[in-house]
Amino acid sequence: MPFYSHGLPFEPLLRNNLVKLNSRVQEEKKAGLIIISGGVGLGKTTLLIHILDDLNKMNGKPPIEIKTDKGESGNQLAMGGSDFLKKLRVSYDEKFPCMGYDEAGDFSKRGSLTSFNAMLNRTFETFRAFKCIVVLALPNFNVLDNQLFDNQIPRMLIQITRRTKNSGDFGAYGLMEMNWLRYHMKKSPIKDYAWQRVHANFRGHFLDLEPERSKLLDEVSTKNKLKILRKSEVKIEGLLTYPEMATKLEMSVAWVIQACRNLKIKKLRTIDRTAYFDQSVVGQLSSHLESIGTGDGRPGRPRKRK
Amino acid sequence: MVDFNNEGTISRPPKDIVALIIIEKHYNFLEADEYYSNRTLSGIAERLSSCRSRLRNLFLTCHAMLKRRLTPEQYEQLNHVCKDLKHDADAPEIMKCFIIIHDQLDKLGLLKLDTRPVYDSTDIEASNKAQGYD
Repeated sequence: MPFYSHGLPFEPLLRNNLVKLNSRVQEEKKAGLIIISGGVGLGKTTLLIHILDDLNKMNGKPPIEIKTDKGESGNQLAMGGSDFLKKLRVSYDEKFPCMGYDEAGDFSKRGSLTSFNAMLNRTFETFRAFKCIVVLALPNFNVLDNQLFDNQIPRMLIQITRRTKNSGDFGAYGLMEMNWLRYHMKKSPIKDYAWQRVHANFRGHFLDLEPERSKLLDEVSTKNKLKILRKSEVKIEGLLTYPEMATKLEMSVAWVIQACRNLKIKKLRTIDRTAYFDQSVVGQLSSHLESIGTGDGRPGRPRKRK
Repeated sequence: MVDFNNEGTISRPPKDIVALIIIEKHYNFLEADEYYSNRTLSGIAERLSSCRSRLRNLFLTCHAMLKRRLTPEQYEQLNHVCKDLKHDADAPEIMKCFIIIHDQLDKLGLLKLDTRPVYDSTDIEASNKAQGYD
């Protein structure tokens, strides 16, 4: 079993800090956010799962479910922003003591940062009362909003520094240290210098997951990354969804769907129950729109299919 | 330390000047005590006049503050040793009086050195709280 002689898969000092943070959230009803940052493939999700398991154990819950029967990630492990919001609600219903968010490539989109930060700010304004510790795993914690730090919501930052075959090293930082890191990252032309300028509150190691769980995690993580990759692919190819076509045509989504049915236009691909069409469809729909005009310059309604 | 002939001195707030004067008097006493201890430990008979007069000086500099902050017994003890020149005070008595004044100056923050909060840095939550992030 991947445990150290003290019975934990990570540094006991981290355990002590998790106990304190758990009592802050459960007893004092204050917000608690742990950030795990580190480069790609250093083991952010592995440590995230160790932490979630330990927090669950402290509160008398079983280890988190990594992969459901449907092949999706478990209810306490969100992959991507929308999944996170959906699972936060489940987390409240199920009274989970903690919740993990793995960015899983979500932060590669610039737009997602702003919307994610806005969502996170809003969530933490209301979520405090739900007594749930949120653990975020993302490559660079500096992308998070100032307001989160002004509201003193992140309580601990864990920066993964190195990964070997079976273990990893990390440094843990408090809120003051995080603010100094952000300051140095802003000032220095080389962001990584900030880590050399601020001392970690403590350093430690963590072990890899058990082989079975590690395999499950790989499957879930890869599946999610593939999903993101497929979505990126269709964007590069220029494929369009119903709402995008509706925006281009200045018509309602319902009109576009109906018109596509009438004209028997076939979708090129379906990803995540979203239909994607070729760009030329916009031209087809545009000429269709002109042909069914009411004569007074206004577009007509598409006839319903019989 | 405080030069009243210097034009810069008059532009300073009186509180800062008084604080510097008190520190100067405090240092003067320690210097006299060092000389007395050195001589006594070397087996040379030395009089306490210098220590006593410097303690008296320090006492008079912050007299009003001490009267307000000390217990009546402590104040009376200081008053007796420092004001009454005919009283024959011995070294332990003088040291006791000095420590009373020193403690008051420490409480005021004038001689306080350990101003940083003390906490276990490996306890991140304690460290956050000590730094004002409650």
